[in-house]
Amino acid sequence: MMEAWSQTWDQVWYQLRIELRIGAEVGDQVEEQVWFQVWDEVGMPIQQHVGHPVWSEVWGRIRED
Amino acid sequence: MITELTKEQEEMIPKYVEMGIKIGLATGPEMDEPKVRELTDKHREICGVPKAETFLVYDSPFAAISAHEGLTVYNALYGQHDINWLIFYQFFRAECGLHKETEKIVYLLELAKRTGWMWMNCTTTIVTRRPKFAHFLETKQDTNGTVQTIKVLHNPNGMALEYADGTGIYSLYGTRLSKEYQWLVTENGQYTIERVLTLDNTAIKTLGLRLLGPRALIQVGTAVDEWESPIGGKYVLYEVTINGNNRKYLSGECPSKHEPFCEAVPPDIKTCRAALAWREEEVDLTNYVEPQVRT
Repeated sequence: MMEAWSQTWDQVWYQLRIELRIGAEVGDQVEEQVWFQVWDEVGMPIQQHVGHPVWSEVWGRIRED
Repeated sequence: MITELTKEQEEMIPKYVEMGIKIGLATGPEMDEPKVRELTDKHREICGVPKAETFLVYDSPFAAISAHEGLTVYNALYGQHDINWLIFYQFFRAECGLHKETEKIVYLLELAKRTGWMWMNCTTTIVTRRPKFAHFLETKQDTNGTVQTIKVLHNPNGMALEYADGTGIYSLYGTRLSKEYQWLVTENGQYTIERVLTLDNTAIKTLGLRLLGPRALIQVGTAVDEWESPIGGKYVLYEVTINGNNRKYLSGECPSKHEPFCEAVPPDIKTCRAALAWREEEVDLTNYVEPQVRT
């Protein structure tokens, strides 16, 4: 059952992110300029301070079960 | 190839940051389910996965994983919590004209504005609602020498992030409390400093001490010096043993606001006068001259 979810996840998220790479159209410097600003200012509060605690709690619950 | 951004494009970056934070921290379990189903089906289609035969909505990620075998944190899509990378691509899509390269984020971005975590398999889509509420504390964070004001999850009175079904997470000052430490919040301050001091986990112990405040700490300390300043003000120096280490705290009354204060001073300090001298940035007590006025 887990394989079914993971297989589709590969298509709708993981492979998708690989395909999304815009390196051919955007120079490294510009990509970094935008990425670092967006990561520092959006990624830190959202992903690390909210998303990750939820991730940890969900993961903890899966292991308890 | 885009090798540099125009001034106008650069000036737009903060707007994307603002938009991203707004989406990522948004709360509210309300959901237009037909619209969300349509968006998830369109996303599946664009990725070569058939439309879902079954579409399920849960109040929280906890409810979803409890109901379905095979759901993990690894095979989820994170909805609003994916916004940091979605907004990165959206910048290039909207501001630099990279439409074709980024066409596959279109529906995920719309879903990020409406949903929490999601799972998809070949026949089923599961979506979860966004949290009911989230409590934050604004704090300073030093990132590679740049000090930023950030919001971290914090609620000393209950869950910091709560979903509509009552599940959620407890967090103090941005640190998640696992089940064994949640009493720091759920007992609503009705616990003793001694109980906090027995905690093995140093990080959690620090959170508990921070929550109780230094005045609670000196209740279990020993007064090692008392002093009344000739210019006014009574001070007491306390010694407290934490994890076998001696800590010193100077307690007194703020001369300007007349509010009690209690703050940590170096552990080798032996007198109130030395502690005051240290606070006033005079390390050598022999050269220390009592000020005419203390504010």
